[in-house]
Amino acid sequence: MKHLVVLAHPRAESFTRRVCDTYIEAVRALGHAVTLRDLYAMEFDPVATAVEAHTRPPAEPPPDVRVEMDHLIAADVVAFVSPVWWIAPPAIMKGWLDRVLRGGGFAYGHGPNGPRGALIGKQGLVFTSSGSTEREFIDSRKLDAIRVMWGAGTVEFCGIRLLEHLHFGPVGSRSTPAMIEGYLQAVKDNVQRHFAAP
Amino acid sequence: MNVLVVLAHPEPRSFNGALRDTAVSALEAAGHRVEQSDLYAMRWQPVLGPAEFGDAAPPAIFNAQQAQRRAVAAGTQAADVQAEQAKLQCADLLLLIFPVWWFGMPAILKGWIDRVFALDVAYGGGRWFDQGVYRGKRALICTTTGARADRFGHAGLFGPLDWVLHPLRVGTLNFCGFDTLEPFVAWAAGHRDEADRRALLVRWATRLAGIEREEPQPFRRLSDFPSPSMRDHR
Repeated sequence: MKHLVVLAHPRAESFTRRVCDTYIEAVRALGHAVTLRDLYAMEFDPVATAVEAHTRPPAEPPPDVRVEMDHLIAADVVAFVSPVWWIAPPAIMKGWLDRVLRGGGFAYGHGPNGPRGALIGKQGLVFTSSGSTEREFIDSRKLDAIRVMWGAGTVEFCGIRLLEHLHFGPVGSRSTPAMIEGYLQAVKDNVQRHFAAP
Repeated sequence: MNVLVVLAHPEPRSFNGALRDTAVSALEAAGHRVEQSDLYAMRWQPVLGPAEFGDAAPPAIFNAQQAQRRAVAAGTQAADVQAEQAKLQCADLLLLIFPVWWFGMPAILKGWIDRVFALDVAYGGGRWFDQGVYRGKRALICTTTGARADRFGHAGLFGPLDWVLHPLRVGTLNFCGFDTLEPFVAWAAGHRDEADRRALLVRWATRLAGIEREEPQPFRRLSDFPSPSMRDHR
């Protein structure tokens, strides 16, 4: 299987990066191939232009978007790894979604009953994290909001089967090393559960 | 009133652009002072990262909030961020105009929030919700959707639009102390005919003419929440 990993964190030593590395290592151990798109390192431009926002296939998108679309086409599994900032993805990740998940039959199209996902057959995973405690994140409905945005609002909207959305918290000043190890173990466990041969 | 109008759309001739133009004329006609941040026209840089902090010895792990805290304390925030924070400080009403893209704001506006609503400027030190920094200010979301109104709601394909707006309305604006007004939603704006769009703009202008007299939406107060986990934030 081919995995496309889309990462949004500016530093190599971050927790987000450790989640990403753990995922990549675990799927590679199963013999799967991985393509990593490290958006900060690539200096990915998240701002959709007027032209690309108002054109649809077969009109060609800008070359940087074309590259990402080709990676997505080639992938069987796409994994998104980013922190939660203001109960939403960082702008650089939001812009990858804005620009790459094009309509007109690429990521979605329109059928007789309304919008229809076009990336059917692909599988998706979402990994997010925040500094809030799990309890606070649930009580305040933040968890619901990000699950809806990533799930029905984006990944599933495109017809991608969402295997898992793992949210980790607290990360940062309120986490212990054991908690962090537990989060990373959950990444490994989920890779085994979804991709290891029975 | 001082009004800050923020527009996040790449095409000034779009319906979002028309909502902005209508808002500016209607607000000025009602005697308000309007300041604008047209994010595409300004070529706003939306990516919050280590680059803008220019630390001589940055820590190995970038933490956006800690980087903001240090820059605020040292007075070294980026000039473009400080300019927007000053506009926000002057505003009695913040008006955000944007299309819904992927259950959220376009990246350029998400990045305006990420960078401008910095820790120790927009919130921090127990200043949130009814203790928030921007208490007394009001905010109004004006948005366009690609899908029809009947696609939203509890029985609709997408669920209620408030699921989409909740992170911005409650998690960001109320969080920082803003009172929010009922959002103005132009459903399926791209699929309407000219007459329909003109009627929407008239309704928008009429609403803005009386915006000062509108009652804000219910506001969550910290004391409404018995759970300590909801009150104890940092």
